Amino acid sequence: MSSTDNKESVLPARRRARAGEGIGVLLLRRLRDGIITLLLVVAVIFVLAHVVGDPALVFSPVDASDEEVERIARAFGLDRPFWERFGSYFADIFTGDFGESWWQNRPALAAVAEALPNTIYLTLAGIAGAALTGIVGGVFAGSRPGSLFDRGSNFFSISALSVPNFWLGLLFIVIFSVQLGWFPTSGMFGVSSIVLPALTIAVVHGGRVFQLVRSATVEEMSKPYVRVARSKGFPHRMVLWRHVLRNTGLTTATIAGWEYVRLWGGAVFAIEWVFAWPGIGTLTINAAERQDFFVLQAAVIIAGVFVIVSNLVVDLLYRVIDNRIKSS
Amino acid sequence: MPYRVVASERRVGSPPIRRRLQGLLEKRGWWLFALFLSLMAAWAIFPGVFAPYDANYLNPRNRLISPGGASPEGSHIAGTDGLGVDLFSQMVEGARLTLMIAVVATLLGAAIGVTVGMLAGYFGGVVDRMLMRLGEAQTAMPMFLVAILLLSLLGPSVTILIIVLPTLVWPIFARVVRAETLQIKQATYIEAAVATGCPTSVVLYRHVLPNVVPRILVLFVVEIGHVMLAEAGLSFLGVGVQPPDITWGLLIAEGRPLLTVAWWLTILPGVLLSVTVLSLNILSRRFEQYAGAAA
Amino acid sequence: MSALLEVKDLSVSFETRGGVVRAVDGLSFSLGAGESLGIVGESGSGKTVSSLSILRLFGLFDDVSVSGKILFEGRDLLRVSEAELSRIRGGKIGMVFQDPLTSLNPVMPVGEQVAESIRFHTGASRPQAHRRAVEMLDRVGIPDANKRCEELPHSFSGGMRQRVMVAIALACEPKLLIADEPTTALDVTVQAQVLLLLDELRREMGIALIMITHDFGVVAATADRVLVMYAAQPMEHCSIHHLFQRANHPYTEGLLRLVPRFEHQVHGRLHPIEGQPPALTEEIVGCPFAPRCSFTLDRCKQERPPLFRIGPDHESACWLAAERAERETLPDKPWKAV
Repeated sequence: MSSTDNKESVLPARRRARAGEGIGVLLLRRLRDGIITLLLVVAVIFVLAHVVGDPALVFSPVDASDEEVERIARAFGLDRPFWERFGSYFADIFTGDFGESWWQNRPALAAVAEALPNTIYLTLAGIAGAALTGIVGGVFAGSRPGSLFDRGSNFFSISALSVPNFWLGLLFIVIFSVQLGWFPTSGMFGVSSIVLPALTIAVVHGGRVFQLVRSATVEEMSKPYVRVARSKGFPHRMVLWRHVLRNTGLTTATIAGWEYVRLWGGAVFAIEWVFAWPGIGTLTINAAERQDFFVLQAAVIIAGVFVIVSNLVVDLLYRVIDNRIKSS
Repeated sequence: MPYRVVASERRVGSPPIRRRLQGLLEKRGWWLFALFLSLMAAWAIFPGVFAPYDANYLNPRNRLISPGGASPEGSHIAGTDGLGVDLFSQMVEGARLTLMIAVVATLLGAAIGVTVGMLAGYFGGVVDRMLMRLGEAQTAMPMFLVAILLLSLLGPSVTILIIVLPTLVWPIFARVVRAETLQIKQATYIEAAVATGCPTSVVLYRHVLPNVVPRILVLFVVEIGHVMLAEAGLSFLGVGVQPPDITWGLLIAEGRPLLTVAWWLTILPGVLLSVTVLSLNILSRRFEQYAGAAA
Repeated sequence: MSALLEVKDLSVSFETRGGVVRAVDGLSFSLGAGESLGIVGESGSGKTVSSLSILRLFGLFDDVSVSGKILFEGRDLLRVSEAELSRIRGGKIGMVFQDPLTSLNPVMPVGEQVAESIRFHTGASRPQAHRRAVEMLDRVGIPDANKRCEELPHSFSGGMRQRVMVAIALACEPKLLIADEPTTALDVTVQAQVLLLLDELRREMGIALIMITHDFGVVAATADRVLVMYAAQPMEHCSIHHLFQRANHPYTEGLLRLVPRFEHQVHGRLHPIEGQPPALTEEIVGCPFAPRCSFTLDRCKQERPPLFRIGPDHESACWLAAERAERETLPDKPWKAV
């Protein structure tokens, strides 16, 4: 017997829309939540830089001389009272002034803006692979729980979840680049260079999509209407396509959407670093090595905005489609 | 039993012996993983017993011996690194810090999460909304990037890592415990305890907490794995554990420049890490079934 | 006359974590075309599993062993191929389930849920099937059927949904209808309507019926014959008249005493049967009812009583019945176990 045959619904409670709430209200509520989140993050960054650390040192290059540090402290008005600094900091951030990168000699925002499309490109390619394998596998496994395919793919997906993503990337490099020479080891040149990083994402995140889709399918297959559909004489395949997928389709698509958001939570950045993919992850880690605070800060905030927006889009799409199904 | 399988919804006529073997593997297979975890724990506690060489002893003449090869000083099952240090000994040595960071950080995260979840679930209202909003806000952020920012500002060290890692896991504990607490709160025996004048702290500690424990345990085991992966990731990116300390994640990072000439330096520590996390995942599933059957 | 459905020595067991559960143990009965049989028993007596076995509709996780024969129009349903079973399910045998609230697909218009079955079994075109579905919905008493067939199940009440279920089950004019507690989840007033509808339609269309229920009232309203089950085994099998006038088995008598009737008002209370039914995970020696029976003989505890023919249209699995019958009639003819 499978471990998931009597689990509660796959959808976390907060994702289930409040009853009778309009799309507009949902949009506003989520926007408010997102802005609060962002404010929190900006505040945390400020506190870290100004209270925990010495801001003058934080803002200076690693190899700066004492005079330079002092000059920077004056330039940033670090002698001003705390609240004044706090206020002007927020004003800067929300007018899009994220500071100047001394490493790249240009505004930090420009460096991040250049990297952002590459990360989006990689995440989309990766999530496409993850959704395809996870959904197809999950539906087939969940529709015949306990079958050989189910047990095999279930074990494979747990393994995929247990593997460090960056290490899997390295393993793929050893096998497909070093040994077989099929793909470049790193960088972003043409289509072939995206194969390995996207495959890495597809395996790890496909594993989670698989798990969620599988339990959603199992849950749905255990509902009485499925037995009714079987009592009509429909073969397994037809029961699955006509009835079960019609019910789980939206949930399944949403699972893939959340997984996309989750990808931004961290996974993609280490993978970028492994493949030297010129995205936000690689930029951030290089900035961290060089102690370039402004690039780090800009990357965190911009990626945060992106996560919040994608989250919003997934939730809204879910609601819109759900309403359309319900009212048709 | 006089009954035989003549028709069933699943494939008819799976031979009973094969089925019995399958059942045995599925029911008892988790033992293998438990055994593996115990071995890792043993490595962590008594590295001296298992490590054939000193993990700090380097001899450039023995550099880059591939797995299974031997040097004048003896055999190297997992090969040696660019400085001639035995990789197997380093992996044994790395178990201690890898496991320690993961367990301690998860414990901290669980402590915070359980407290927050219980308070939020029990008191509800404003407390609930504030605490849960905080958790939600956090899950909606690229926390990995935030962690990198934190660690690079504060300067990477094991202590800072143990402070930063719990922030990644506490919301999960809080969410689960809150949901459970909300349910338990409805129970008649809680009402009875409150009605007989039991102080809130006692109600929470004596009545609510014990009921949440099975779920927490299951979650705890899974989250150790997640924290382990996060630590490995941060160490791999250079903002986690710093040499001369050793963790498996750091070993992967150190082997990376030699990836094309000495694959084992990156691949083998990763295998160890993966199997450990896999064991944790499998065991937690086992616990879950057990707890589910008991409930 | 050859029977439409003949169940011979059907046994069903499930392998669960708690051990092997014997859900049906040696059940035999037959049903002619157009006849109706009520199977009565407490929950856990094996009546639902028996009905599901006929169509092999076991659950996704069930590990089932089945033995015996279920002959439908001469073919053994336990051994026919999936493809053949597929034609019989919904085509020749329709089924109505217990819970109308969850038995309909929540995201499919009800008309389509009726029509899809018609299309599958008759190969009718989409518009043809749709017309037939509307007719059928009209026939089961859905008002405004040609409009409401476009609606999703959630806009229907429980009783209306059960009517839709009846329409689905009867859509392809089956030979046999199996109704598994079709009215249990409904309000009392609605129960009567649905029962009446079921009975009326099946008589009109000449469909045989197996009515699974725990309610003697339902049996009285719909069945010609009754089979009483207890602890996975058949206890008594008789015509509906015998049941209420000459119930033989002590278990049946006990059950009947539980039906509140005006006569009993004299005594002022109901008489529950003492004790609990046996666990189905354990081997049952002798008569399963023996521990709770007030007429237990020594033999009851050692040997399982077969179904004895004790009169025309009347069988009872009780040693007492066998003895009584032996003394009263035909001492020279040995009693045939059925």
